[in-house]
Amino acid sequence: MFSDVIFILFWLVIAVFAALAVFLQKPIYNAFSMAISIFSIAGMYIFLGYEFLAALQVLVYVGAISVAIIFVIMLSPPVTVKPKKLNPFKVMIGVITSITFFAVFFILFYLKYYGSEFNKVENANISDVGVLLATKYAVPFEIISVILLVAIIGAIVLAKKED
Amino acid sequence: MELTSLLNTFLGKVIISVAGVMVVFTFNALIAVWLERKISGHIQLRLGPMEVGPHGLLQSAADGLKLICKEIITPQGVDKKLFGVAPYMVFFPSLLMFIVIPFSDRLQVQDLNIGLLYFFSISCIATIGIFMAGWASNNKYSLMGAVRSIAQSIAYEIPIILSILNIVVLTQSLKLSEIVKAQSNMWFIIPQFVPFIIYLISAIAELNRTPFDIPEAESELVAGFHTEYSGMRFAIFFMAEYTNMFLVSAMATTLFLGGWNGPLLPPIVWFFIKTYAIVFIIIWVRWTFPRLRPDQLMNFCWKFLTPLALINLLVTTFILKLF
Repeated sequence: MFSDVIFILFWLVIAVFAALAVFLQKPIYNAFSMAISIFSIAGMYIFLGYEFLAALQVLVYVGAISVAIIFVIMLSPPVTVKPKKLNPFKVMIGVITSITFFAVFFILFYLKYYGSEFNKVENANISDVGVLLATKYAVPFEIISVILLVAIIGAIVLAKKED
Repeated sequence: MELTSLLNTFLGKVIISVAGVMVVFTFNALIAVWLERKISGHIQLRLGPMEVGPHGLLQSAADGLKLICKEIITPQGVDKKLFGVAPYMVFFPSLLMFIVIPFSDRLQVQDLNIGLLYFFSISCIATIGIFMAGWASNNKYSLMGAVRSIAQSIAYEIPIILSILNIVVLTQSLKLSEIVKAQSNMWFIIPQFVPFIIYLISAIAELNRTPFDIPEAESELVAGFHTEYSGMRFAIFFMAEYTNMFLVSAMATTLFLGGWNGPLLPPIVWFFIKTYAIVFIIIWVRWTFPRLRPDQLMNFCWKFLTPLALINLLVTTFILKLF
């Protein structure tokens, strides 16, 4: 009972702030709403027993990615133009795309996980994560690091051109 | 209901923990501000506060009362919603961070498996609050202060995390109680002296204190991101700063100075002695060194501290593997 209430509460906060992140007019409000929504997702992870995932979620998404987005918004000129009237054709395309996207995801998850028991991790072991990263998932791990390196070098090259 | 049975219920534990955290927080806010003023006074050959209470001990209580009574001014051009929320966004991570601090072998709100990671990931949230304050103030000095503050705290997070990784490698655990227990024979400051220094320097930078206080450099930015704040809202920023100072010192104590380990005196006393020794060092540094330039600050982090921390981590892991 108590846990159900908390679960619904988290779900509501995530949903409301995710919606605000899309619908609010000022970009800085969108960014802050997104940060709160992401933080609530971390709360959900803790609720489910994935402490490690929750800590990483906060560290990476709130501490780094949201801050980077806010940084970009602060450095860009303020948005003063009022939003244009929406083109109904474009709205229709958007609605259809998002419904299709949601349906595909829903069906995939339904096929894979419906009826299967959710296994709650009692004692999430970080050393297990480390071993898996260094053995089974070593190649994807290395590929990610190379991609990040490419992004860093690319950013430096782009920044240097302006001089 | 009896007190012991109340303590065993979930609600009882929550109430006791919150009350305990609030007591430590208030005590620290009063003592740390007083310490700062006293130490700065003696460093500058003054006496510091002397009037209220013995040796001015009650000065910070009087100041707090004054700030509570002050009118809260909201300037006209500010973004009212964000302006009101920002102080709390800076303040609440500080309270959340108290959860994992091991004050003694039994006094710890929650001994999380990922305690160390939790501490440093929660500390990231405060940067969003600083951003909010700087942006909502609608003032160029506040905005500049916020931008500098974020650039600085993102940069110095890396040497901090690299230096604490040494401890994680040594203890094979992120659980703070286990890290403290591993130091019952030898404090980690002895084998890990360089990471301790890196941690201390980066922590002072994260706290935005002199010599790294470019986000609130008085001579160029008035007061940085909290220029427009007054009364209790300003006091919340102020208290968050001193709480963070305590938390950073408490973490240094836990990781490098053996936590609550110590002879004769009870564990909690040892914990506070060590923590306030680090607080003293941080204040001492503030009143001794001049401010750095922004470019010096960034160069020092990226070209000196980060490589040094990386090399140190490599050496630690190699030595552990070899022996």
